Amino acid sequence: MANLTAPKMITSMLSKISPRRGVEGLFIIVGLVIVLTFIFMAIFAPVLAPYDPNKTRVGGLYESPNSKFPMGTDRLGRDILSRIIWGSRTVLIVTFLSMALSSACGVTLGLISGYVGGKFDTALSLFMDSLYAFPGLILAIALAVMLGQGIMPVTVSLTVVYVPIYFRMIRGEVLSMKESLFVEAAKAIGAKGRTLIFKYIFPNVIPSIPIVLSLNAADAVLTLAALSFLGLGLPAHIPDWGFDLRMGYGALTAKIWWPGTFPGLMIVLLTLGFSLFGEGLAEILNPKLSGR
Amino acid sequence: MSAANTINKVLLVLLIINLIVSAASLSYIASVSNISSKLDELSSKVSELATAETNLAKALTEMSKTLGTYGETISEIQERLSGLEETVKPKPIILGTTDKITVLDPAKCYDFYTWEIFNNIGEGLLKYKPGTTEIVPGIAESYEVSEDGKVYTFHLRPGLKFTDGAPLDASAVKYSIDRVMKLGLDPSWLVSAFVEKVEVVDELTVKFILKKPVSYFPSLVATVPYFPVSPKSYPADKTAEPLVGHYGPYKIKKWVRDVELVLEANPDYYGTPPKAKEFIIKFYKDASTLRLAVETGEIDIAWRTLKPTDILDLKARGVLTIEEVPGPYIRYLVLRCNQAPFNDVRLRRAIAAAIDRDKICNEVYKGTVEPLYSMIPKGMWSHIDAFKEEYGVRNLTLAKELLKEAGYSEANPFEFELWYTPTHYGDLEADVALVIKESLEETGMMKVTLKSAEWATYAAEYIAKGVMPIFLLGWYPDYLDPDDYTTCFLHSEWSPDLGVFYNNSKMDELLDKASVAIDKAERTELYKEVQRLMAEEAPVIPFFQGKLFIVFWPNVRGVILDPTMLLRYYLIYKE
Repeated sequence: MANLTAPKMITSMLSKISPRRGVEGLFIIVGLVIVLTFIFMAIFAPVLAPYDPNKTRVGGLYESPNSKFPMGTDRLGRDILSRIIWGSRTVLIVTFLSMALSSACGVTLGLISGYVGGKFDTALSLFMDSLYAFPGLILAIALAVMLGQGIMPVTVSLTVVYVPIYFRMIRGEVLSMKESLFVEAAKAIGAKGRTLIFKYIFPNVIPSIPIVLSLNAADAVLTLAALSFLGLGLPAHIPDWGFDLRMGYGALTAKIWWPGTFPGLMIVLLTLGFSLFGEGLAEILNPKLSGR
Repeated sequence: MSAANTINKVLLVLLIINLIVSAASLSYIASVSNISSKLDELSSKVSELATAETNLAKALTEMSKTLGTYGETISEIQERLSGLEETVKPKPIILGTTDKITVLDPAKCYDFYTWEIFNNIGEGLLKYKPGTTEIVPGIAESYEVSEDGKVYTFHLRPGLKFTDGAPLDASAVKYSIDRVMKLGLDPSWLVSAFVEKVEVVDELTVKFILKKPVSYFPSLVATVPYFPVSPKSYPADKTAEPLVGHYGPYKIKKWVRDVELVLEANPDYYGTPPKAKEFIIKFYKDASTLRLAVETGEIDIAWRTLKPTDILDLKARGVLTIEEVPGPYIRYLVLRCNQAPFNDVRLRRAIAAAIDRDKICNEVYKGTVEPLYSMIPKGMWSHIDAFKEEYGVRNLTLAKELLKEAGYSEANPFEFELWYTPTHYGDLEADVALVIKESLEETGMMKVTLKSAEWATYAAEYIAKGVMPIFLLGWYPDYLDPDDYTTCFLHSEWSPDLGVFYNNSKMDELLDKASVAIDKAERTELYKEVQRLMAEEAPVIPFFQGKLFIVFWPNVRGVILDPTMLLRYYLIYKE
């Protein structure tokens, strides 16, 4: 693989997204549109949302969708549309933060562990494998119970869940790259330690990161929703799709469908967006990863 | 059309009519000439008919005879059928619940539902009369109290035996009480805090010697930790869950944990036998499945707990019977009195004045709970609406004044964390916290941050450590006496256990006096004073009292709900 710098990589990536790429190209574009729409919603939430998402009794209790409340109102008379819009902010903050943190930790540790090797590598790998062995949601639940509720605790628990994924991937690539010719060459001309890792090895593992990132983002959206669905996510004053879905689902038996349906739909849509984007990216950038 | 053609047609019609008329008249003439012979024929036929008639009558009488015997056999069959029905008829009643049996041992269980089960498979020396909070004799026929109020002597009913065959006598009672005290598990304080020792006087007489006079001891004796269990089935030194070794209206036939419990009538029970010979309890995972089960008729009764929306919906449909009573379950805010900021009584009072009880009850709980203005719930003697007397239903102006006095303003709001737990009080807890936050912030001078913690951490760690300055809690009574709603929160000796840390010597004195006084009128006055002082100082702020709902099919009879919250399965039957 060529030694690419990040901007070059992106241009080459974009050049590959063309109608000729067929399904993969379409995947990326649809995914990107969905994700960007949600990002737009999150950023402009204060402008877009017609009501305060936490203000109770802006309308009647359980008002069905109408012109004043396009998605109806919930059990406390809050506007569901406003809650969805503000909820997108919550979910994206948590997702992006945990992605950033887990990739930063995972990639760095993976690089170091793979490069240094030896006992350090063995110990770290064992630790990461033991984390990886837990099903993601179960681990997240355990951590959320331990850390408590709130944006940061939830972010941290999601981070811990995803760190091993980056670690394992990067470590594997570093191990194979260590033996490759250009690294040997760099060593021969006297490159050492940090230079070797960050100048020669790191740029070459970059391409696999965005794919895992966006696939993980999809997973994180679901895990966050599951945590809040179980009541372990965020305190009540932070609008949150998972919790709204749970409370809405409770009203289903009384034939009140709107408080559950819309948050559920949003979770599905955003997960779909991230997945499509990730899958498409995987096909284009790294065909050997496809089929995972 | 030509004229000749028309005439032709008319002629043809006339010809046909002529033919018909002539044929008819010819046949008429023929019949008239035959008439005499026909008359003879007719008379002979009539006589034939008469003989046929008599034959028919004979046949009919014969038939009715055979029919009569048929009737007899039919009525016989009916009798047999009804006999069969008699044996089949008291169909098992099936009750569904989302509650769980924790552990089937009176020395260990300390939760509402397991206590309910024990009240059906067991019985205390004394018990509550169904539908009331009145104490009546149970296993003990009668009892006496010594003059100093420290010795209770119970006389047991003769000839009782446990479901495992062991005799239920004075030594079994002593064994059970000693066992609870010795094991020292969750509910044991209900015994050990009051009872010094138990003495066997003779086979049927047992004496309880108390540490100090306790005016509400009969209410205590009716609680599950005081229930006698068989020494044969319950080992003295560890907890056990045997299916036999109890004594009550029902006994256990089959138990699959968290799936179903089948009870059958105990033939050895002294009182009226249960109306339903078999009573089945099915355990459900969540409220929605429970609702579906009762709607489809899979179960006859849905007991705790359906969701408020479902209850309203079922009410609107009107097919099932829904009954409600004020329950003894209360919810309240705890303010940590020994730490800033809530060591300042003005801030506590401001919160008591600003909280919007009606909104919590009507909007979050859709009217399935009712506002509560005292820690002693409505329906219990000595209850007064103390907080309403002190603050009115809600008083934002007073709250603002108090906050101003304490040095806060709209520019400099009083900021604090309000804690709740999302995993113990049901789905609506988050909404309750949210509405409280909103109602306090309506003063414009408070800024509330909601914090939540999982129940185990919340209850075991945070309350004791004092992490939470103000938090939501709930209370199910242990025994039905105003003492159980006041001393635990307000007495300086106990209040730290529940995170209140309230210390007021006047309050302690009132509570101590009330717990030993024997005269009910005197106790009522004392508890009224306690409630007024509590409202004034607001170390705890009650906000609602639960209602109990039970949903059942109209053919189910004998459902009695009362403030003990215990459903008596043995009174329920089906029509």
